[in-house]
Amino acid sequence: MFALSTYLLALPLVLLPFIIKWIKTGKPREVIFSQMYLLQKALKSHKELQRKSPLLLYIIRMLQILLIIFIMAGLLLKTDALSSSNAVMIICDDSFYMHAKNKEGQQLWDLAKMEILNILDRLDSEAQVSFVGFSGASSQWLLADSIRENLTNKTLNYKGENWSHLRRNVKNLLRERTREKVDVILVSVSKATDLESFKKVFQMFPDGRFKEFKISDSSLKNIALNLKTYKVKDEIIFKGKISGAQNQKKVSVTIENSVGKKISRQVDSSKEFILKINDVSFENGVFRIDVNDRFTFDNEVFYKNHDSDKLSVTMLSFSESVSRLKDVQYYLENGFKTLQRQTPFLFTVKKPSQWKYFDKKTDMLIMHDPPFLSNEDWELFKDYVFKGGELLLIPGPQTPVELFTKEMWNILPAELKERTKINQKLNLNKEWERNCPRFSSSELRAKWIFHRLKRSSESLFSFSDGSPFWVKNRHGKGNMHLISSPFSMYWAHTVLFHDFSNVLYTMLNTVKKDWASNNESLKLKASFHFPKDITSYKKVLGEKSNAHLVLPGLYLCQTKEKSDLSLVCNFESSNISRRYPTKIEDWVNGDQEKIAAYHYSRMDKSMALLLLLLLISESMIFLIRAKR
Amino acid sequence: MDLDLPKEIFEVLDRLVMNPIVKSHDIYGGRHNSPKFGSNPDFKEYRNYQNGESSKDIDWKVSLKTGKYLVRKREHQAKIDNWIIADGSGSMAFPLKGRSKYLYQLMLTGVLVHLLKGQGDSTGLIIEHKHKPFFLTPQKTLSGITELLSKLCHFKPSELSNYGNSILNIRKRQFRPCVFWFITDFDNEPSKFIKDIKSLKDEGHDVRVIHLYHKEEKELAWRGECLFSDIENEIEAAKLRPELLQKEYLEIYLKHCDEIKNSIRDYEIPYHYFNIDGQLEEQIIQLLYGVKNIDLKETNP
Repeated sequence: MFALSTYLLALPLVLLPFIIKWIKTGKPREVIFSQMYLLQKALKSHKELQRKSPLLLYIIRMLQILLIIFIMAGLLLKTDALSSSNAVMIICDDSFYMHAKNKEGQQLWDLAKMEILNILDRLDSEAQVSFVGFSGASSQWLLADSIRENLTNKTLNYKGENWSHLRRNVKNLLRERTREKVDVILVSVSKATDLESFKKVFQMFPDGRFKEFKISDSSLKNIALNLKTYKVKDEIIFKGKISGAQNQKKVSVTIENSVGKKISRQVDSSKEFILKINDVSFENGVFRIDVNDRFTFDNEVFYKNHDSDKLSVTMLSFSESVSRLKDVQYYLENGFKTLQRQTPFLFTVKKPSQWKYFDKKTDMLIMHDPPFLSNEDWELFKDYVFKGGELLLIPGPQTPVELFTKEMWNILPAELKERTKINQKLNLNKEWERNCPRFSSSELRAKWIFHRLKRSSESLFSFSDGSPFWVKNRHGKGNMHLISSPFSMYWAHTVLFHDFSNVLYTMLNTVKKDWASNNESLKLKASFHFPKDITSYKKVLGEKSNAHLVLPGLYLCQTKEKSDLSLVCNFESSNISRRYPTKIEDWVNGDQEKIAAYHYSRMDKSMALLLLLLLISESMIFLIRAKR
Repeated sequence: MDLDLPKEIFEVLDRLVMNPIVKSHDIYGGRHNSPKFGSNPDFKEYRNYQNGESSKDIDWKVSLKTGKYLVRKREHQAKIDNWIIADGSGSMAFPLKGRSKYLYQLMLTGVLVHLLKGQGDSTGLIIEHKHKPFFLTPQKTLSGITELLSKLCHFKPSELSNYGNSILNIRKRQFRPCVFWFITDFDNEPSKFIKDIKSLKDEGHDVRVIHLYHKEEKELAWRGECLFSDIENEIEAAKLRPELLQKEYLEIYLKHCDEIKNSIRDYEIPYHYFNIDGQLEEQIIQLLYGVKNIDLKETNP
């Protein structure tokens, strides 16, 4: 108690001098001065100096503060970089593999959809969205359709197709938008995506690269399908074996054709299975396996003409005779073989009964001796050409020329008119002569001549008298070709199929070259702006990487227009990490990405805080000085 | 107020002489040369004899040598009037602690009066003040000088000084050339004062200006936030940080001093700039001879 009381007394006593000093220091010192006249003068000049020089200082400081506010606003109020974009292209995997669930039981499709919708929400109302979904032979387009529902103000102007056409679709899209600004390419890639062909899409962005992403799910790792298809008469036989699904004895198998017709069967997973389907339309389609109702195996394309590296050619022969058709096929294939080159084309010939089931994704369609067709049928072909197909019309004895011209005038390059036998040599340049030696030497018998050519049409070959032999006209995204003479396998008649294969090869090569030159003319130059602190990202994505992982399977590249069309991909990592911190943790395969994303988000916030502090301190100093 | 002058200074003062530029016209004897020729044995010059003059003045020796009647001209020595114009303004009380400018002025006046009395000159005093100026005609007697000094001792510096009035007063009374000792600290606009002293100089008087200062006034050596109030209560108090103003103040102060010095010296008026904490002997010598260092022992008046 004593100690306490003494402390109570002593403490204030000890503190008293300090308190007095503190009070004294708080008060200004009084000075009685004699030269106040001069002091006032000095004070005046000091203030004037402050007024004069601080004007500049004030401006600089104000600018500093404004700059800081601007940067801060940029950092803090930055909602999304996407908001500035006008045209957005979304490339997304739409395959059945997207049905697969992750460990938490969420479907990849739902997640991808959610992300895409998030991005769409962040876009301006005037933004034009192009959605290119891709999958195998055929697609459900569930994702695209569901997204379309949400695009109230935004215009969805493209719908993608399968792998072989993805590249063309993207190309066409870019061609359409040559003078516009294509800003965002959002790509969703599932495990099943053929990355090699996907890379070819990205070749349109010369520096474009993307990172392969695989979803790790141990239960789905080892599932594999070994499938063989046979065709016996009108019966299609599937013979295959499923491996890696030991836990499940019965597995449901679904086969879907290109029209969308489905057949489901239960098969034994431990044994080899054989399925027989009596429907020719199932020649092309998708094969699926469901395990436990939670996983749909990747679409297995079992028809062969879907390789983006090769151009597919389909010939529709309307001749009744099957033997003749076989001959045509034989001669054409033989013709390709005699070229002694690795054929870059996949050639299929359809029977007269099958002609309606031609694959609409084929690059070139040859109609040989078309008979009189209904309006609906013509619309089918018109639509095919409009969407980017190449249609070659070889009129034959069955072809009603007048009706043909009448119905197809919209897309035909010229009008056909009947003409008697005339043997003429073709005018060929040196290149053609080199490529098709027999073609140049032979005389062709033109059954028809072109009566009137459209202004837009282009003559590929002409006879020695100057009349055109092969004319081409652009329609929509594709081309319509027309040949004046019917083809035959006999030399004496008109054009030999053997030679035709040669011509076709060269012609399609030019088409391919045209594509390549088109690509060049686009002059796509992709360069990518990274955030300042990119070292962490570079570690993750490699030095030159420029497509960024938004979500597993989602890559985000922002592009900006330069001159004609140059794409600049920009990646706002902070947005992503801000938006999906938990998701990244769940989804990102590997810690580095996670760390990088988090690091960047933190840096962003800390930078903003630092700037805020700087602003406060600056303004405080400024105020204090102004007061003085 | 006591005059606390060191004793040594009086010993020094005994050897000093104040030589005015002007010549005394006084009829009484003094130490200063007069324009009149008197009976002083000191020879000044020879001149031709004029008719009617006393033959006593003819220097026969020289006249025989030259063949002309030459008269020896002798000097007349007379006393001269001195006016000490002391500054009675409030600023002279600075600094409040220690030796103030006013005290220094008092010491200086005392020394001067002592010196001038020794030379037989009379000293008058004017204390400059706006409301209660003091005026004392030149005194030669001890009682007069005592009155002068006691008046100066008992005067309390306050308010402003008004030089114009005092100079006008002097002009009314002083017709003969005399010596004016202006002691001030120039705490106000000096242009009018300088104009006045120039006019005095033009009238043929010997004017001397002593500018007093304290080092604190020059250096503004305070630190921290200070409330500066005017000692004369004329200018509003100002709250400021002297360390921020130091540079500008020094510039202005030096410019002010230079202006005064140049404008005064341009008119060939002796100007002395004295620190009140400095050596009084040195300053007195400087005041009288214009040289700082002089061997006083050898100086023989």
